[in-house]
Amino acid sequence: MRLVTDMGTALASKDRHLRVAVSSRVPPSANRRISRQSGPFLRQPMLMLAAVPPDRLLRLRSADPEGFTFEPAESWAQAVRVIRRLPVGLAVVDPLLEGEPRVHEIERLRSFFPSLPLVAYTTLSPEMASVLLGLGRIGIRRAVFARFDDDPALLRTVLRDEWALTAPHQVLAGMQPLLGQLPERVRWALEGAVQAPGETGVEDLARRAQMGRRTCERLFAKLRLPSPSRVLQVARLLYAHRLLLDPGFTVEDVARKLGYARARSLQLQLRAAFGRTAGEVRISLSPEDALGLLWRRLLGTHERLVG
Amino acid sequence: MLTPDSLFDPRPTGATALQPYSSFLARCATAREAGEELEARLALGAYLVLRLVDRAATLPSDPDPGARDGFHWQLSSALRFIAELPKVDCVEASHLDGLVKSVADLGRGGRRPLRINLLAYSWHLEQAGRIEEALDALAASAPFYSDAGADDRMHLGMTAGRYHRTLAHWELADRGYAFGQEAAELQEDRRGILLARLGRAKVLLGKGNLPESRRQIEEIIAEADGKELEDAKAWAYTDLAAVHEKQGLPWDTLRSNYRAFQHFRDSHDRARVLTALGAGLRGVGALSAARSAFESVLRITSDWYLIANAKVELMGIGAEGSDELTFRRYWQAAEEHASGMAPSLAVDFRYRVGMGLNRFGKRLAAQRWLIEAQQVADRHGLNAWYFRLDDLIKGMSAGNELPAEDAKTLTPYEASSVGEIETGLRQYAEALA
Repeated sequence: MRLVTDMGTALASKDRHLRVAVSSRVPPSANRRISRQSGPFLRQPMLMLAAVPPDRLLRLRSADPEGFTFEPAESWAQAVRVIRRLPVGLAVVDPLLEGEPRVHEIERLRSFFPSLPLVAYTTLSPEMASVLLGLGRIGIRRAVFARFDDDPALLRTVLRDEWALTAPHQVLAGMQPLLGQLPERVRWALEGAVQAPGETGVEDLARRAQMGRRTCERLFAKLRLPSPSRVLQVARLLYAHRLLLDPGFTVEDVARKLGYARARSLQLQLRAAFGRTAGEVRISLSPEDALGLLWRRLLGTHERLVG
Repeated sequence: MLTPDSLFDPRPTGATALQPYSSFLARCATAREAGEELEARLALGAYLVLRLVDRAATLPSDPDPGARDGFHWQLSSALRFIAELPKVDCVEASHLDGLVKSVADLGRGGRRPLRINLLAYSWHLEQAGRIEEALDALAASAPFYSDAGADDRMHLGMTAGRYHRTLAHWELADRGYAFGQEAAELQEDRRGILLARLGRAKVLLGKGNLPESRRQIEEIIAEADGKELEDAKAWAYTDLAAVHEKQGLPWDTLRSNYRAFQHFRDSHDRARVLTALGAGLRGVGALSAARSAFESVLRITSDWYLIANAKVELMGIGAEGSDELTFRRYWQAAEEHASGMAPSLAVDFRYRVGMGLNRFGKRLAAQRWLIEAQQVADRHGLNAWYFRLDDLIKGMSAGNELPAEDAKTLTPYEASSVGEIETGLRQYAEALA
């Protein structure tokens, strides 16, 4: 097994899996040694909403077929349904989706789902200048313009950069002091498992990280971390809390997105974790408070166990 | 340690921020609403070119295998857009054309042509009064200064400092001037050092620290000895005049502006300070000296705005001095510039015509001109002018006399203070004739 020692070699490699893993994961400024562990690591594709016309959807899909998957929406009503139902981390939107430029539809998405990063992908013309300014006023940070700068490389860069703002990524970033020592493939696996419906156990995490269950458990133990299933449980609860802060999601929506058979199961878990009902959690607990609360409970229990 | 990027970070972003360069989108949207298609396309072209510049800056460190192809595709799109803009009689289109070509030539020609083109473009935008856009264009150049010499870095710092100061971004302004000063010190450029320090003193003035600003400026004036530092001394005197004006000291303001006039060698700089001097002299009632100042402006500059302003002022001086011949002569001269006047000058012009006509007994015509002035003020949101004119018009409608702007009588002290200035200006005017 050849040790890949620099990014250039990795990108030039004939191993497609390695090229994809490297090109889709490593930040532009990095120049790190990359070693292959037990088999090539294939990050799971990120799921995104694409509320854009068909030609733009095609360009999005061809930008990085193994890094991103797109759920299309042909109308704003459909876009809302997709967001409520599926674990999309990010949305690519075109104010011209339904023909006439509609900033207020995008503004609605923003106000209903503030945790969902939005990227504008539209045409650039004098007519669109005021529309773009309107998008800026409602907090859209990034825009890509058809036939000017929507080449695959830039699309990949923009989507990866914005992925760092997604709720699962932010939840994991908040847990960085605890999880910083974990290998990157495990952190990626956690991020994927956090939002995947029904993935609650160490088997799910281990499968995503492409390692055996016992290997995964030993890794966490070696790093003196709580068990993988405990960490995943905490991360999913924090993610659920984050979704509940979005006024566009009901408790039932959040439960369905996370794969609970019934909303009541989620409600019971929230009460057990935070000591409050879902409604109370929604209005009275900030992300920082939620993290602090679970941190103390998680670490407090763990420190008592490991001594 | 100050770096080129730190001169623009963090950028004070307004509520309209989408990405960098939204100032150009704002111009595009405004121009489109006004039906100015070319202006809209120019603004959009600038937006595209600056995004391209940003991408060129990150290209060397972009590990994506498709990055280079993507960049070239984006470059082709920008070249096509700019090629369709008219270059003849369109300075901005020429700037954009030069910019996009220097991006295309980055590999061959190096980074300096792009830096210089961006700086020149930012100055063009500054001349047009578009300071936010000028700042954006300058900020785009920051990543290309890693191999820049001290002289280029000095210009970057001074220009950034000036733009930020104009926009009241005080901390960033000081940072810009400090960066310029560091670069000037590296190459032992005394003039550059003094001008950078002057910039920092002006930042203090902007922040309201008048005593410290004055102290620093006076220090610079004392240090600016020698022929090669004359213009630095002149600039310092104009800034000292600004401090005096803020302190409510009209005579000190006049004296400082006159000292600046004596030290400036460049005609345009002299014309600008003569304009300030003339307005100050008129304000204290020294009409003859004010007339000399503005007549000299007409002789030494081709700057459209300074000429138009001088003619309006001379028209007003004619009326105040009850000299109907002078009033009418300069009214006719100023009329030629009326269609291109900036809103505030356009209001001032109409106001002075009205006041002049009133002085010479044409009350009805005077009222019509004042009403027209008020309409212009209303259209452009010049509220102070609007309400001032409103009072006058209402007074006239009620049969009141307009307040007379009579020539003031100077005290002996004031007369002797203005005497030196008047003599100097007259000698200067005679030398020009």
